[in-house]
Amino acid sequence: MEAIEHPPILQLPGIPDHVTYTWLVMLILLGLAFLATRSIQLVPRGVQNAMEVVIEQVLGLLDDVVGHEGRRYLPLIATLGLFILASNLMGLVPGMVTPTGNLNTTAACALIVFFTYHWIGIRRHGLLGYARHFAGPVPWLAPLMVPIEFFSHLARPLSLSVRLFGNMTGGHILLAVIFFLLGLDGLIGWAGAGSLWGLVIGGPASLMMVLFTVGFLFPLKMLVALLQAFIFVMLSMVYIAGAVEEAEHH
Amino acid sequence: MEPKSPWRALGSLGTVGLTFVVATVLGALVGYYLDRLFGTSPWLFLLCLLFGIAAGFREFFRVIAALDREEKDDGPSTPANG
Repeated sequence: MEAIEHPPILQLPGIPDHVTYTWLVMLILLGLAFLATRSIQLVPRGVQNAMEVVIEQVLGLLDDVVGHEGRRYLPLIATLGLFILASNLMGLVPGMVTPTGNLNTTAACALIVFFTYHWIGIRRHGLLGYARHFAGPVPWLAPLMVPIEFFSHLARPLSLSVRLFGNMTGGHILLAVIFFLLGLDGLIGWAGAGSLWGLVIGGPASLMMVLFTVGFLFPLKMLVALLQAFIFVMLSMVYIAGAVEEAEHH
Repeated sequence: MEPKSPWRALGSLGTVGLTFVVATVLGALVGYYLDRLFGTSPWLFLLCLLFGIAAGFREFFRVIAALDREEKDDGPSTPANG
């Protein structure tokens, strides 16, 4: 990838790029939070209004998925959602790095979710009561269910992190390759060698590529960024709901 | 509450495919290293592979159940005035 893409515009020596841009996302979110809460009014306007819409969406989702006691997990879910969404969208800005395009960032988020929902389950049901979740509904099936549940719970943080990372990196590589193939090679050929054919072929080709990128790829990447942030948050809520609910007895 | 958007069902269902793969591969890997540890090739590998595949199905049914519950719960709910 380094061969065909420009290095990120902001680089701190000795610090990996995805960490630098994670800090940038944190700064942006802090700024947003500051703007939204600077002067809270009963009838919200501007940034406060926009943030309230977002938070209410998350609240509605929590009510739907986790149930009536879902609202106490709003800080975790909304923070994850906003952070991941902002990180995903950052990849659309040329010269910036997507922090979620690195497996370390997504694995960190997924591990937070993993440990948190187990902790929630243990706090809710007690250690033994929560362990009963893993035994399945029928007692004599427990030796079969425990390893299955073990693997299915281990697969959760893995698939969470790999899904987000794969989608973001895939989009990144796609954009890099499309920009690389932009048809500019024809134009460069014209500029370098003076061949008129370079202009005739390269001109319309680059125009088409630019239209394709701006008209199709960027909206697609925005959709994927939104969808992946939503999926991450949705799955986190489903996991919390699974930890909170009563074990199935039959 | 506003009507459920099909994007939500699509989002939830879109997660199923990768979960299958990850659970299966995880089972296979764990079994492979357990076999290397105990020298019982290929039995633990096959066992853990089966458990991994079953875990994939378990997660699949969980997603389906969550979607199902959500559709049924679409009854009289209090509007969220945050």
